[in-house]
Amino acid sequence: MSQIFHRSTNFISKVSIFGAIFFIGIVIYLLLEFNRSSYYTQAFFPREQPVQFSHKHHVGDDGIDCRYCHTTVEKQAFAGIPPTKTCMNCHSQIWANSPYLEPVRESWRTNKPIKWTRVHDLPDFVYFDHSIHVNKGVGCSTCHGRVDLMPLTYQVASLNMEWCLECHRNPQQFIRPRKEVFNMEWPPAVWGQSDDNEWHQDIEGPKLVNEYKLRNTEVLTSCSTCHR
Amino acid sequence: MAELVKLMSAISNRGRDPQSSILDPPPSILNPRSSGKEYWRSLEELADSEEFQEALHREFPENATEWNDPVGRRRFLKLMGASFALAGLTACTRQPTEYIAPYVRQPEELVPGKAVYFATAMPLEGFATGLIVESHEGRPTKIEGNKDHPASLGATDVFSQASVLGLYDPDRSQTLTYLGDIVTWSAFLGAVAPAVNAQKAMATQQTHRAGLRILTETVSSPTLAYQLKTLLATLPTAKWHQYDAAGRDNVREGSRLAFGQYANAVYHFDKADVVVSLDSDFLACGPATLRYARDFASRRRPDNNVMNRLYVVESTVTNTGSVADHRLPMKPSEIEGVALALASSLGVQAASTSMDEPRSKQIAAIAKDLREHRGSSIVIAGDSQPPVVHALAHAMNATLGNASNTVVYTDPVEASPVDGNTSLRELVADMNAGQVDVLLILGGNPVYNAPADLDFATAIRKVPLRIHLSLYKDETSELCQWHVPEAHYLESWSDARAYDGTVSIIQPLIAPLYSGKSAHEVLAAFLGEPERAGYDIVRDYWRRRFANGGQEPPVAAAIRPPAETQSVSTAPPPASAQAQTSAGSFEQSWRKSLHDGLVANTALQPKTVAIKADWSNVGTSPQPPTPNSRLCFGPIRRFTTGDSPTTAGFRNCPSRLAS
Repeated sequence: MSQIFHRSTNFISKVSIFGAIFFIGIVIYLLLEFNRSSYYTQAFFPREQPVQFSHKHHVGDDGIDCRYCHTTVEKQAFAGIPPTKTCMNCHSQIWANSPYLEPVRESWRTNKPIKWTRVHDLPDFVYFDHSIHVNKGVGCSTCHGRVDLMPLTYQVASLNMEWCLECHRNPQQFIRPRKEVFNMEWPPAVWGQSDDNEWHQDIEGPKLVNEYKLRNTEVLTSCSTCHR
Repeated sequence: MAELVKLMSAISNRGRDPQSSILDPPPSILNPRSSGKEYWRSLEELADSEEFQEALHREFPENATEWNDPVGRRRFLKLMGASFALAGLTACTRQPTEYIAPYVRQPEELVPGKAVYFATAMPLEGFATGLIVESHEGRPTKIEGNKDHPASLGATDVFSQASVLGLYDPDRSQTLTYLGDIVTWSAFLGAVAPAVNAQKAMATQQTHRAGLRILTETVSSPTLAYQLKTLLATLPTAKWHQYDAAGRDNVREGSRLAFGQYANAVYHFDKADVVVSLDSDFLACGPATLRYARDFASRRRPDNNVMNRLYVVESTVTNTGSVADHRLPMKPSEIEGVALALASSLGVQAASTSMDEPRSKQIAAIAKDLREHRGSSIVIAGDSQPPVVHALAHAMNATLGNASNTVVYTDPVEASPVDGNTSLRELVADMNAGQVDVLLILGGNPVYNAPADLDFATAIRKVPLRIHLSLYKDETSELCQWHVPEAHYLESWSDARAYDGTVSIIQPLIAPLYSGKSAHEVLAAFLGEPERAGYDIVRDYWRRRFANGGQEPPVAAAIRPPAETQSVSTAPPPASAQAQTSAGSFEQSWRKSLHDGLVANTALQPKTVAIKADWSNVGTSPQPPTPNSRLCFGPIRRFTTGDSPTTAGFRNCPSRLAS
């Protein structure tokens, strides 16, 4: 009676045993990469909005400060989305008949809010407070990117936990002076306070961490700091 | 032979069971007719009997067939285990798109995410407690006490804490109904107007004695009282009754027994060195409990030179009893005797009773302590004690010189103090006699909590038109044609007085969730002012009251003939400088009252009341024959009379002693 399997299947079985380990490893790696991919995190995908609002135009060209619209960013957890009234402050005078702004005027007429799509959507089990970050020298562009160059707004960060921890572990690599928080073009080409007129994050960062009394890494990376 | 016949007949009759399972052999094996030549391995197979089918079914590994068992334990566990294991996979989805809807015109001072605080007051059994309510984006979320309010001093009780969840209670009545059908507010107004007109016509003809009856709970709201008095002046056939299931009737009647008039006693525990409680749980019950607990505690600090001393005579376990220096537990029927003995040993004219030796020694000790603290002691009687015990306490306080020192008397806080039981009894008698055309019940659930011997449920059916305003659809709503959902105190304008008479304007934190109506708005419909908002009613009353120097404006019949109304509306508006300044000062006072949570200088002034000479002639309560067991009725502290038992908030609030 002959063997069911040919001798060559020994080789196949050995390869498949080791192959399975690599295969599983590759699958896990791919899953992790997928989780980081902008396909999954939606980074760099502009969201569709009811109004084609351009931060590039308003911030970059017109030079409007972030806080003109996001009024509560220095005091509250929520930076604040401006009421229709804020739009109409200017747009009752300029571009008053633009068809692009019809949803804004409609909201103003009918007293129904404009329904903006949230771009930065943190999971609901995370506590995030804008005010503490802004007041401790974390700039807008550190997390939100060069909003002044975005015609349509998109997120530039993955918003994954590893991304948060990157800074919470090493805040000195990202911190900047408080008065520069709303500067979109940070780091500056010319910085007057050092000898060679350049901003040295590795020298200035730790100084600012001390000056702004940031909590130590254990506190900043404690679970309950963000998962309250 | 017989066996063979049976087999053959089975073979000829064989048919397939329509409910075959997946484990059954495929039909091609057992149903040869469908597939050419027939093969069989045994006679049983050929016969395809039930026994054979069963054996075939069980041929494969044990319990395999349980997969087909719809409610097998193993299958259940397997499915549940898989569900648990795979539950984490639900996280492997992208989050749904979220939207942000900002304000169109953002209200001033409103910052999303930042709470705003408003002063208001909660009326409970007619008495107000000042509150500060936290509001997030227009929704009240948390209640704390108002530090400036005399009845709160920054503290709250379980009722206030729970009331914020009462606002959002899904069991609340949400619709206006007529005979169970959902109808509109204008339909209700349409039904009220002819009823009121009929009453007015009867009043002028004076032929028909029947009329309108209004049943409320204890009313301390000046605006509501003014509306009611206006209605009574307008409709001479109308009567106003008040009834509370667990009200303060005995307290009121006790004061009337002692003084010949209703008086409100305000106790100053912060001035008292010795306190004797005759079954009074003043630290945990009553309209002033928060204030009294604070005042009492202020004299209980060991750092101070002299701590106060508390004697409690009681028949149940209470908070007050638990902090007493000397607690005298006794049967409920004995407390009156103790009060009498204590009074007579203090020199109050009272029928003396005989006491056994240890008890009379205790009473003598208490009396000695009280005599040594003349003017700085308090004797207080419990709400559930009969009026005579209250009168005894008043008499003892008068004899000890406590009156106007530690016990201050004022005019009653209630707008129209009555004995609730008598008032309800009169109403039931009128209803049974057919003398009630329209019954308007503003709050309360008398069908459920009226004394059983009155048989309120039978009497109310004899009233042609019955209207019930309440937060919940309850037993009384069932028996009324009209049910109007009441607006919660956090969503309606009103006012109420605290234990010392201080008035608070009750301002709403949110628009009515279920288009509920306040008692003011329902009464306005009867006063010929339909669709008048509660805000206008309350504000207008206070405008007139401020213009009248803080005194109650004179009551006038509200429903005027049309011609007169015309002349009033065409009259030139007062344009004098004085009128304008008074309007400005009203606006200031009104805003200040809303901001502070109380109307300044509205606490009732102390007054001197003298004990009636002949009060003790009324005698004592009939003593029951001494039975083996006694039953003690009283409200559960956490639920009062159980008007809102479903409110989840009560379950979140602890009971300080076992209930």
